Amino acid sequence: MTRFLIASLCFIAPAQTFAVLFLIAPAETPEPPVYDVTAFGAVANDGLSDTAAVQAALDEAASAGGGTVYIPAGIYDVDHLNIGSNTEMAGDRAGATVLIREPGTDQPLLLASAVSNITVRAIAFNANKGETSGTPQCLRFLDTEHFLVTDCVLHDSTGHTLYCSGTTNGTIRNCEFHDGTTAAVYIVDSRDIHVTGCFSRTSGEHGYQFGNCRNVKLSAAHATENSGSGFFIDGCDGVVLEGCLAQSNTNSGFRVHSTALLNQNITFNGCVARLNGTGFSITDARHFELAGCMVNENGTGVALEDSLQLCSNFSLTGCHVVGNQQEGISLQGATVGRIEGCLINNNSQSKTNTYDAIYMADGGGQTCSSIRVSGCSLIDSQPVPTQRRAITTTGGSDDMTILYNDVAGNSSAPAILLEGTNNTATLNIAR
Amino acid sequence: MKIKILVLIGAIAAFSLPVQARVIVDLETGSAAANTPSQSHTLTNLGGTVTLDASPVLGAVDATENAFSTNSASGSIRIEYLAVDATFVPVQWNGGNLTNEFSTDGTAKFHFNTSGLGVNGVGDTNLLINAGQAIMIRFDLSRLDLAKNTALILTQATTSKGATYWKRTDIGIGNVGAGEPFTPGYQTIAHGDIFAVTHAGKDTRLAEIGMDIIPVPEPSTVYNIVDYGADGTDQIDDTAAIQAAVDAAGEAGGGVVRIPAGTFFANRVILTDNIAVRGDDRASSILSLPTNIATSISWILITPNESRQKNITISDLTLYGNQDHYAAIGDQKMKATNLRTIDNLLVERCTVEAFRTALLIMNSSYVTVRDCLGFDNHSLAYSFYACNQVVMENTIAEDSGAQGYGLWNIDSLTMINCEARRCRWREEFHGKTSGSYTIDGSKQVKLINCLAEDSYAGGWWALSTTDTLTEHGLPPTDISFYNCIARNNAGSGISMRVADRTTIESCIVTNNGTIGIEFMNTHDESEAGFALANFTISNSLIADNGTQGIFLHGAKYGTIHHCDILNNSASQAGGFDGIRMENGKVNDRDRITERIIVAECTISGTNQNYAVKSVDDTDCVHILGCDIRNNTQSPAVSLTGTNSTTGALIE
Repeated sequence: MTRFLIASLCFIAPAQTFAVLFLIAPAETPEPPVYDVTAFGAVANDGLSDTAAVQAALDEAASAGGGTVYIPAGIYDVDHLNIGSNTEMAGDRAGATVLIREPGTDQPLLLASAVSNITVRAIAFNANKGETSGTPQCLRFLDTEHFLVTDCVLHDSTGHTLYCSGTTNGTIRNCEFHDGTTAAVYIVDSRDIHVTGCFSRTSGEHGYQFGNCRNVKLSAAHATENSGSGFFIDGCDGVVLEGCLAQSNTNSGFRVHSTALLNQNITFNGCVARLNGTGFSITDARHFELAGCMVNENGTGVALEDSLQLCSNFSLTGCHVVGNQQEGISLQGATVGRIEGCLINNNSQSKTNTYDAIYMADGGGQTCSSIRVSGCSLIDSQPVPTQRRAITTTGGSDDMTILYNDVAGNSSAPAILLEGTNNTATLNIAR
Repeated sequence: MKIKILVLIGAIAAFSLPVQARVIVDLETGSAAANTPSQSHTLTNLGGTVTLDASPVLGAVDATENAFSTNSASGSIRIEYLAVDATFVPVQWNGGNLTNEFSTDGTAKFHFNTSGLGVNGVGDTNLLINAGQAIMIRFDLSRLDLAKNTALILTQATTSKGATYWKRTDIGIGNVGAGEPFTPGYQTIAHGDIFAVTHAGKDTRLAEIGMDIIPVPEPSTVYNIVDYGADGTDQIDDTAAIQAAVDAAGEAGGGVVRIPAGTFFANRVILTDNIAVRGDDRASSILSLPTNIATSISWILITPNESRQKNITISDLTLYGNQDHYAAIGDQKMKATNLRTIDNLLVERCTVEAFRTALLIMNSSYVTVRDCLGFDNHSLAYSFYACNQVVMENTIAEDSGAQGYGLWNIDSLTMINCEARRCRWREEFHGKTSGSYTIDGSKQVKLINCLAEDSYAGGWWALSTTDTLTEHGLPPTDISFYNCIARNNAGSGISMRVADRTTIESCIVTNNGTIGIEFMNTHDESEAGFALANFTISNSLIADNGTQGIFLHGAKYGTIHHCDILNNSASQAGGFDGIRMENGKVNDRDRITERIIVAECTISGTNQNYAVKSVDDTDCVHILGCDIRNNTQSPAVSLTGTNSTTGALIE
């Protein structure tokens, strides 16, 4: 009791009485304390700033060693909130509880910096991008560990809707991100991150972007109609994507790219890329696989490229690469891989007899080599075929093993045209 | 905030009347001078024995108790009375001799006895009100100190007959505005509140005024249905109370409708924007369909038909359907939910039990269903129509009479870690099409780590039907099975009836009663967009199924790669093949199976007749690099068509 009273003396005026009365209750019950922002003077729906009140609740939770800061339903005008360790910030429901950014400071709505055990739950964050000259984010987590963002809607930020840097052990679950100007979810220099059941759409850049991260899992994450790529992975080690959807994104559905560090250990299981600029674009990566993925009706289906470093040790199994505008699979300087049990049909939709099911060329000064293509359907089944060949390799293209494929119905003969040395093509069916 | 409290109290008034030690001001025992136009009394000693003009007043319980139930007030309450003569129309508050001040102009009087016109005075046997007359009662609470979170309420204003109206502001002559009928029961009293007791006839006498002080919850955006009169311990329908809670939340812009522990009965509660219906946990918070409904289709939670909704959550509940009652009255369409046209819907941690169909969700976008269990429903556990962007995660469907999951015309669906078990158990659904999961006209479907087992029919089915709701059938397209298991189903494990672009990767399909994986053409390819084509089956185990491991009837353009197809034809030694291909019959016309690669598979098991057998017009089938040892027939591959080949087989 004494502690509460002393604490209350430090308060800015109008919140005092309420805060004292409110805080007596937790002392009498064993439940973790709940700090209701309205007891600290926040008033919903009045169009006036609630930043001081909500921050007072957050500060009180922090000074008590943690607790739940509860934001009842209503619209609150806030800016640049700072959350401490062991704190849950919970609303009633995203959309019922709404935090909208106050115009003026161009700061994120909520900042977590060098803290641990943070939960943000059931709140809509509107970064109010029409009222800014800067690039404020909705949530900004720096050097934070053990965090959960769940059941939230983050939208209309000029910066990222969710920005994490230097974070570990984070889960982002059942959130909706939309209409940010830059990448909606941007996670950099982080590890042990799980994104599950999220929808990211209509951002000005990527749906989800990971840079220099380790141990990332994305389950049932959907990215649609983003102006960049659906998923953008840069310099990461250990990324699993399962059941993810990338549809109608301007650039790639799934993009693996290396600005500096090599990407490695990337797995795509049962992912769907459709109607994107490129379905999967994987550049400078090793040890990656696509299994049971659908890559249909994109510009190029799958592009594997050695740009600066390498593109090697990969497998594509049980994937569909059908009806893309250009190549089904384009390999540039890719080495040591297998493409097995895939269906790569009816590509080159943009121009008849121009693009192949699988096309290989040199890239990054590297020759495609040691690639096995087996048990695939590389045909064109359309009444008027568009796909040029099943496989064309140019440049070195060494040590290819092409066997047990159906290569019938393509526009040009031979259906398999290999340059380079030590290539074998056996038991491929062209009729 | 004040308005919210008032709504709350109003709801209490309507539904619950706990026994209270309220105080009764008995006007028969009061005293006042006759022929005065206004009088007043003061209640004092509010924390103890309440007195009126120094005399104790009555309590309600046993006529001796005379304290407020909550002794949390001090000071005094002054009650002022004004007699009003002439024509008084309380509903409009525009008549009578009212001035801007609550005082008199001398035309109306409290008379001493029943003789003459007007209103009889305090101290007489009763206060008599005739037509066009009223007694105005005003509360002066300026000297009342109420404890925090309590409220003074008017519990009664009794007359022999007649009506009571109230208005919260001072009123004056010609001050037009609606008064509100006073609902018998509870009504909060704020300083300056005015009540009028009126009567359109005659001989109505004001006898008693009852008051109480009650606790008032903190202003909250959590709307507990019990505060609105719902009772989780009785068998009475709680629909009105729950709807009142939802409406209160909705009018406030949204909030949590809390379903505390208990069993509550509801039918057709309408959910609107920004509402979270939240139980305490699904073991204790139960929403049930009532058992007294005799007609119509019953649903517990619905959305309005005429408008699009957004941001609705249903969580931590058991929804219970009382299926036996509804089966008895012939309601074949009762459901837990009938939720339509919602943007951003979350259903989590719910158990949905004993409905005809449990969760029906239609025409909605950004739908997440997570950590839910549907069991013992007579038709479907999960029935989704025409939704866009749907994620189902960690859901279970057990003991459904028909499908566990019905997924009609869904665009962009991900199911991850979902299970279906013992579905299609009701005899009325036996022998009919489809299995535990029905994917009908849906596209961009990703099934990851999912399980279908012990169905009384099939495991997964993909098909296209013309359903009555959408009035058209759509082709299922882009269906990806990854790391799924179909086992021990009475019918086939996976049955694709019409589907363009299907991948079955890293799956286990074992011990099913008939076919392991079936591609069976049921559609005429002259229908635009319909094709049973473009499939891959890879890195999967298809074993110990009753008939064929893989059966293609009228499927085109596929590869079966690196699969183990072992010990099928379990129902009859030598009766069925590891892989069989033949024509599919649609409208009496044959659909040809063609352009199939089977490569690097092991197809083995002494029960299997052929490893691979094709018949009819099947052509362009190539069996390459497979291990086909230990089948009944030798050679173990038998193919039709001039363009079919084998190569590099291990025999």
